[in-house]
Amino acid sequence: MTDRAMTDLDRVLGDWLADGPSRAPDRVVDAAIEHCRSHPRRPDPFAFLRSDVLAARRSALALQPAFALVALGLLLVAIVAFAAGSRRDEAPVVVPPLPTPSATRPPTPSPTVAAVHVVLPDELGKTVTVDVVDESGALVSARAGLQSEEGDIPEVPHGIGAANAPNDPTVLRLTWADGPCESAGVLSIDAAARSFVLVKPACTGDSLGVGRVIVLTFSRPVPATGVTATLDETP
Amino acid sequence: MQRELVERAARGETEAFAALTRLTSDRLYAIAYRILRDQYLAEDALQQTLITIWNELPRLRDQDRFDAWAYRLIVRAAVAEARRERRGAAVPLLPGDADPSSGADDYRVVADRDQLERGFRRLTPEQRAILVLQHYAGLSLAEIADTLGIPAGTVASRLHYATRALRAALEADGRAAPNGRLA
Repeated sequence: MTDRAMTDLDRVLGDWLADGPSRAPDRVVDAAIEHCRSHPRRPDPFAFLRSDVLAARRSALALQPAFALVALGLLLVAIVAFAAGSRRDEAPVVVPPLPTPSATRPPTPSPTVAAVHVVLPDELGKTVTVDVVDESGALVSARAGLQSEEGDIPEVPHGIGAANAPNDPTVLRLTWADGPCESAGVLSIDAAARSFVLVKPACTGDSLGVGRVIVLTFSRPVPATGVTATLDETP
Repeated sequence: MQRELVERAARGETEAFAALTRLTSDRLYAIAYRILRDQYLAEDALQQTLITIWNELPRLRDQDRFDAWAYRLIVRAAVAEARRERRGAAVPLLPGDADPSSGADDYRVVADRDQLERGFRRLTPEQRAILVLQHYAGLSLAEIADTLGIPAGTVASRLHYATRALRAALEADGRAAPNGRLA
């Protein structure tokens, strides 16, 4: 979809959504207020231990910082007491001071690479771009590559080939056959960095195909053999 | 002023909560309605959200983030209502639904607001929510990520797919304007 078409859809959608009710029915608001009056909140002495409502979801085993520190402190004391009881002739063990819990902002979701904008070279001067959207948090960089420089990458008819750089499993190279059209694609990488989906407009016609290469560098190995790469061309 | 109301409501002051409710209900209801496209479902979502705010407000550590939290609650309530009601559920598009004759640069005119309504209803509640947060509430990608508690990359990806799904739904509806182009 071109930028102009996207802008037109945005404008139409924005205008359409602007219409509609913008005032809450009084009876709903009054009912909620009546609820709070008839259900006064009881004081909660353990409120400081409860998680922030805006904290990112954690595993069921995750502990709040204050509670975790208290538990860790008790464990250290127990260990020291046991060690002191079983080794009376040795020098006393110095227990490191417990870190004082300080008021910190509740943990927020780690920022990931929102989108890396990659401009692919085109001999005909067409504007070909790919926005790389990474959910794995492991993507370090994304750049355009030239097939002549990147060496052997398996070609997959009507799809995407994937291969690691020689002797470097943290670098993954994707290649696909494209037409001589301007396009703006989106390459989505899933949280496990195993599924790579490239969504781009289709380029039809009888022209010879053009090989596109994008080179992704990760903070950890991403074996090409474990990757599923999909090309989704939209009409 | 809102922060003061949030602080007092968190301490259990019912009148502060009443004032906070009157201050925020309109925009929360507006968001719920635009996601659900149904007055009664939106009212249920709003009521559930307001009760949750009353019950859980003491657990909001940063009271300056009340708006983000309230938006998160209303979106979750709206999505839950949509799933429960199964009205206007998204209709999965079959591969042949999109018009194959439209090229990459072509986009059909949406002259009929009913067409947009039908197309929007074909989206999942989650897709509708993200479009509403961006195009109605005016939130940036980072703000949407903060509101929904998901990474910004995920927001960008979902927004892309929601927009693409809406475009496909409009094409599948099959009622283009004669000239075939947006003004």
